[in-house]
Amino acid sequence: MASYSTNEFRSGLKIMLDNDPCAIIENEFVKPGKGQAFNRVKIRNLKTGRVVERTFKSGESVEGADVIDVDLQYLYNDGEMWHFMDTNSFEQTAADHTAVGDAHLWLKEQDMCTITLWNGAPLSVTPPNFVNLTVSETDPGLRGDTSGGGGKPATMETGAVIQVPLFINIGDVLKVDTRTAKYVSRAKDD
Amino acid sequence: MSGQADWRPLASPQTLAARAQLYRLLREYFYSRDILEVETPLLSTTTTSDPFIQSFSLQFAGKPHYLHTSPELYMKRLLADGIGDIYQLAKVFRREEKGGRHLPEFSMLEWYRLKRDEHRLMAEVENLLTSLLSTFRDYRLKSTKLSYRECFQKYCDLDPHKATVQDLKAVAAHFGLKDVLDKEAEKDRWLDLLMACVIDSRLSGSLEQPQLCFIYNYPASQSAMARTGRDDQGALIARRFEAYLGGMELANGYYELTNSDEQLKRIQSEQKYRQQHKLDDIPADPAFIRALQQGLPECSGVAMGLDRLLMVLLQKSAIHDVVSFTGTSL
Repeated sequence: MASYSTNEFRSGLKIMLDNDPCAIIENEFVKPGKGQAFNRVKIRNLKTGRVVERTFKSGESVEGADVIDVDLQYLYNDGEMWHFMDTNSFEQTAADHTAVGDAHLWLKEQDMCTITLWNGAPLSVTPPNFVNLTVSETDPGLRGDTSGGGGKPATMETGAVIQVPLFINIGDVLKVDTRTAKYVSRAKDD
Repeated sequence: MSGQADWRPLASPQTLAARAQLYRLLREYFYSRDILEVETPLLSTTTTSDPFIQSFSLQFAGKPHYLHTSPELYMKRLLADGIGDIYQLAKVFRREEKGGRHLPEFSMLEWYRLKRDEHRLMAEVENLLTSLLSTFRDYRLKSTKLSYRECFQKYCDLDPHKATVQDLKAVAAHFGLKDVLDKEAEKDRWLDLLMACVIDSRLSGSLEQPQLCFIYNYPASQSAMARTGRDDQGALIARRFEAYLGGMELANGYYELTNSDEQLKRIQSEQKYRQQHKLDDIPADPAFIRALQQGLPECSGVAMGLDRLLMVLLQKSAIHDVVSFTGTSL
């Protein structure tokens, strides 16, 4: 893997730090007038999701991380692993619970997801920003109440629990924003 | 939208007009004080040997040439020739500097005043900035002066002239800057680290509420091209200052070193540092040394970053907001 000098640092660059793959979020170059310059860098550890701040001597080189994002179709969960497929090559990739994390709440079969691979192995799974999910459990809907005022919890087919308006019924298909875990609307029939 | 080349300028028309106004006011300011505007080469066979400034280099007529990193060497040759007080507005180039407050190509104002020490030049910098803040923002600029010692006592609770490398490491660790430097890094590098990462941003307010802060009496080991002396506690100091404005370092000034032997010694020690750290080898400029031998008049000089000054005058948080274009990637 290539190494990167601090003057190549930019947001999104993937580097190795303390043996973990990380992504640069923010890079600030600082210099005390005359003298040694430094780069103050905000970095997300791609394994833990934690954001840390690190200072590098300018000109220092850091090893790059072999991290790429691929779009794969979610196939099924076998009880232990989540299986995804490249829709062009039909090649399959399995991700464990650590990589999938909370994304499992939004994984619906046949949806396209972004899988971040580190050295070819899944590091994290990002569901689509919006998914259509069927309500599997909620209190009965209140007919006529379409105001959207007030709400109630509903359990979706994937196990996710979100707040929904009172008029929603079991079996309704809802559009959900996976980034905020919020109800958007009822899904259109088409 | 992506893939479409963004051909438009980075700065707004108002910002570009403000830059033009700033340049007009600067020229009026210096004209009214009988300070002569000069131009010197941007492209030259020589450049600074300062190991912490890297020059762009290119080949011309079979020889390495450099884009200047400041007009200092040529302006001092003019001074040695007896030209008197001078200033220059110039684009300068620094290879390794890129960020929210740094561009590899930026605009610099540099001026020299004969028979004045660094404190009188600081007073002039204060006068100029006070007047610009008042014109552009109707803002009353307050200013403070701290010696390098006072500044470290205030923000790091130590005396930088007496502290050991161990003391500085301990303070750096306290601020989460433990292993930034190599084990063999000299004391000045630890001082640089604390100055750049702990002190720098706390000295001079914010873009919204800027203050002017001068730091002076740097350690003699950081004297660059300034003359050295003793402070009131007997520490060997460089008669150098930095001006901070609105959270940023803005200007760097010297009570200029006129001793050509001492200057040559410093250049040689910079060249040695460059060799040890595998940096480009920069030969000393013989014409500059000869000019110093001929005699640089007693003077002080200061270089000011004009893009950063515009950032403060217009309250823009990124340097690329105040330039028409950048020819390099951001």
